Amino acid sequence: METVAMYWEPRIKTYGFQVVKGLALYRYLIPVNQSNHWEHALECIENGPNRFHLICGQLNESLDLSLLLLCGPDRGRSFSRPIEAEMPIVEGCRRQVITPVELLFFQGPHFGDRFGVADFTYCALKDHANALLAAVFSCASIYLVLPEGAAGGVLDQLNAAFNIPS
Amino acid sequence: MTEIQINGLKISGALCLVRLHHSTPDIYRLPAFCGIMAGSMINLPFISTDHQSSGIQAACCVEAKHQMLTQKLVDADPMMKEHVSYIPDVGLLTLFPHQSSLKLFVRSLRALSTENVRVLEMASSIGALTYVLDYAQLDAAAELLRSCFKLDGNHSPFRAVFVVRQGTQLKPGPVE
Repeated sequence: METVAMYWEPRIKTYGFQVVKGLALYRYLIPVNQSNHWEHALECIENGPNRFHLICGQLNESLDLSLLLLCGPDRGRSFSRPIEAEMPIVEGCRRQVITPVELLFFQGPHFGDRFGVADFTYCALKDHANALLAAVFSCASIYLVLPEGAAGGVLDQLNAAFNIPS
Repeated sequence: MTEIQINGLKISGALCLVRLHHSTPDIYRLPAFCGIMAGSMINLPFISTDHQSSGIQAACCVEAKHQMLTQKLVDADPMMKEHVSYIPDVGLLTLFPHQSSLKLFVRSLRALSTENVRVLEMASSIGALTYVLDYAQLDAAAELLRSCFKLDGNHSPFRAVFVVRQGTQLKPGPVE
């Protein structure tokens, strides 16, 4: 049996915005159908310590994994090294690093369960949406990855749109 | 192998994966798509986008029961229709907390790929790591992850039995 609760607010509430600057955005295109190489690369990565701010990926029809890793500027190396070492000759195994970048993230009540939250966010962003490098709306949180210097303007837009209870 | 503790695994209901891809960096279509979905009270429980100079790749999930309506709405916009593709019968497998740990991410990804579970999308949030998988593989994938992490007590992967929905015909925002 399913229990359904109804929720609505005229101005969407968030628990506040957080900004992290000076990060690195790593983009990889990894042919994961090269299973031996991939498996060994993953094993090397798993054995090394590391932390991330955001990770997201998409598997395309050619079984290439397009992976985004947002982390501290020197933290991506332990991820990159095994991939480059274990999969050096595989065509299409590319890496791109953009640094520095900025992260703006926030969460709110039942964001992932309610329609209209993404629309509300994009409407609030207005032209700043064109500056986005990546975005993730997952569970009750929203992550926006922005070029250096862009988070301030985006933060102003979002502050004006969202309700932040004091 | 170091033991990693997690607090839980959650399995979603049936969803449809909607992929938007266009070869210009113009972001217009993604907000437009979100606007169309909001206008028809369709929730997007998962969105992941990658914006590059060569174009934008976006992936969104809608509930399976909204797939036909979504297609109908997208098809009504010829500019959008040609840039959208659908993968029906998918679901979300969410593990939490991810502890910002690449080790945890890689261990989960390895477990899934070793057993040929097709990972269509993945994304982290503040505390959780979410995989978009074939719906038919969700339960098996949850068991796989349960076997490679330490879970509190007798926790079992669970499906939501408590659902929050937008409680009005109105979109969020000021009442006009």
